[in-house]
Amino acid sequence: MSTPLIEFKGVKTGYGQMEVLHGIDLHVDQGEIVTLIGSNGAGKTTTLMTLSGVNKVWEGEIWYEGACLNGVPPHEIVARGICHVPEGRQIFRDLTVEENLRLGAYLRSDQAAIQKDLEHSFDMFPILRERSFQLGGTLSGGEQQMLAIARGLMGKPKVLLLDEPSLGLAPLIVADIFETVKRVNKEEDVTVVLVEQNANLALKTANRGYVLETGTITLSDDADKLANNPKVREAYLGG
Amino acid sequence: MTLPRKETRFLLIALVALLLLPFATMLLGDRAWLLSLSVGSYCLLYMINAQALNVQVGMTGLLNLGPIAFVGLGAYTGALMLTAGDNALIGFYAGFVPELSGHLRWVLFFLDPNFLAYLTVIPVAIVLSMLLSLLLGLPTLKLSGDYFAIVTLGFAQIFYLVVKNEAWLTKGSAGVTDVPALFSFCTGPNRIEFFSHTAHYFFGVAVLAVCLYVVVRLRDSYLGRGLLAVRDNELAAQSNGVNVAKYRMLSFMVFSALAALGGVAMLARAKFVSPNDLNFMESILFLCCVVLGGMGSVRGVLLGGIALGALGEVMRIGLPVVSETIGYEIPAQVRYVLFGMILILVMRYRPNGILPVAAEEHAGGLEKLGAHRDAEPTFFKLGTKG
Repeated sequence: MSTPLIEFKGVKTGYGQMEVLHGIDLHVDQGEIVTLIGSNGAGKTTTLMTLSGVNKVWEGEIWYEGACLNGVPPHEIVARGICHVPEGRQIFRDLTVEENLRLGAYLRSDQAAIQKDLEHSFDMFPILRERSFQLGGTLSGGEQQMLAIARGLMGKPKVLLLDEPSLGLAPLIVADIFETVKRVNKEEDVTVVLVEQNANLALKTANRGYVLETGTITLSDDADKLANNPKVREAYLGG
Repeated sequence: MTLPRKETRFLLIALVALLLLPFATMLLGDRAWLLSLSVGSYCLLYMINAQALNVQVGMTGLLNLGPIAFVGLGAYTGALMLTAGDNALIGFYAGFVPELSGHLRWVLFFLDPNFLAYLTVIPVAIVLSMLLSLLLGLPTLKLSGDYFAIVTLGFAQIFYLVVKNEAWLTKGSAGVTDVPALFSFCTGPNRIEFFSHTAHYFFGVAVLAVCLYVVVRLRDSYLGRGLLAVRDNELAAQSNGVNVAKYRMLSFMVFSALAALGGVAMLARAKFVSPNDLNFMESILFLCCVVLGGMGSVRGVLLGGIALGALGEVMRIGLPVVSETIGYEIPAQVRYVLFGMILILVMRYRPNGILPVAAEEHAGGLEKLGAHRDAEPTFFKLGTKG
């Protein structure tokens, strides 16, 4: 068995005094889309925040490309190719769409390639081209989410961490965004870790899934098997 | 990012206008001339210090409630170094620069021993101020915005108390008096009358020019984009690889360097510095210039500095005259009441300041497309995420 791209070994973390993750073991292989599903407060976002270094690991280890990520600061983790698109469309409201995208390439210096990738983002989300001089804050919700994802991709990441990309968006736009995620995964060989409330959609998009319940992983399987698992169906897919 | 042409033009015109002001007011007679110099040089200090603060508060979104401590550090460093050992520093330079006479003295102003001493003092003040910001920033910059603001507030008060009480170093509440003038030809029987009144003013304009250059270049650079990103959305900045702690430190240090420079300009004007100059209200007024002008907007903050500086000085000079005329003593604090009212009105009708930032940060692209920026005052978003 080859070593996974990302591996959590008994990771514990939390906020202040409160432990949120009680020892998580999971792995993500190169080229996969892996989803974390679970109800509110299960620790899905915390898992991503810990992987991107915003949260510190209390106990256990996170491994990535054969190196331990414990204690590596967030900007360094971005430099190593893990890009986090945080929950709730965290865009730069007071910068233009184009500036937002360029900030995604903050750690790159290959100007020509950046320009090309900028065009590529606009091809991927044509609406962003129309809005390229508009301030991020003036975009609609769906456009902001597209911008956040496009900005994440501008960093040429090897791994994209997506936190609740469907939050508060119309179903049609959600489908659009998930289509793009799949395409990016396939065409650009970007590994994706997807956190989603909408378990149905997440399991349709992903190869594998983990079910998180109050800080512990209770189930892990291929996505289609999880989708047919009666326990999962009852708890997360509405029977 | 290219320089917004409109902004550059504005700033250059402003600097030239400031430079020409003393010559223009000369035509109005001696009293008007002296008044314009007094008001003008006072405005310059506000413009310089507000612009320094703009880097930290306006461009990085870090509220600093104690900028006066860094201005004061600059002024005190200058005053103590210049007066040490009976003006030894000036004596040292006088020892080996040729003694000039007549008009050569001002034509070759950079050979003046006083001026050389001032030039020596500036880098020391800047380095000390940056060191201080580093010392203060390292343990505290990881605090979220509002807590950091309280730290700076506390620090400015401590600085004030130390300066007031450690008389062995700072001369205590009497302050440092008899600081030598900017040029040797500004004082004494052989002074050149014109320059004894204007030298500090022109020095102020030069310092402002340096300040503006640094701020604009910084904002339009790679580093500047990082600062704006941190201000706009810390989490997003972090997840795009911007080292938030580093950029906060950077903005703090750039601020402290420029503020120290402002302190030396203040010293050149007053030739005196005392703990009274470290008043908390000064910090608030610098902050008001930034908010009034438009947080992060270079042009706006310049206008904010002119507005509040002029208002303060005009009222300081004008109130006694008015009091005398109407036969009723108006207390000097009335100017703070007026400041408050102006601030409220500006926030009501122009919540983003006199000249909001949109136009210049985005290289004119927005203006052309007629895009607008939402009317939320950014001031109240300080320290909050998202």
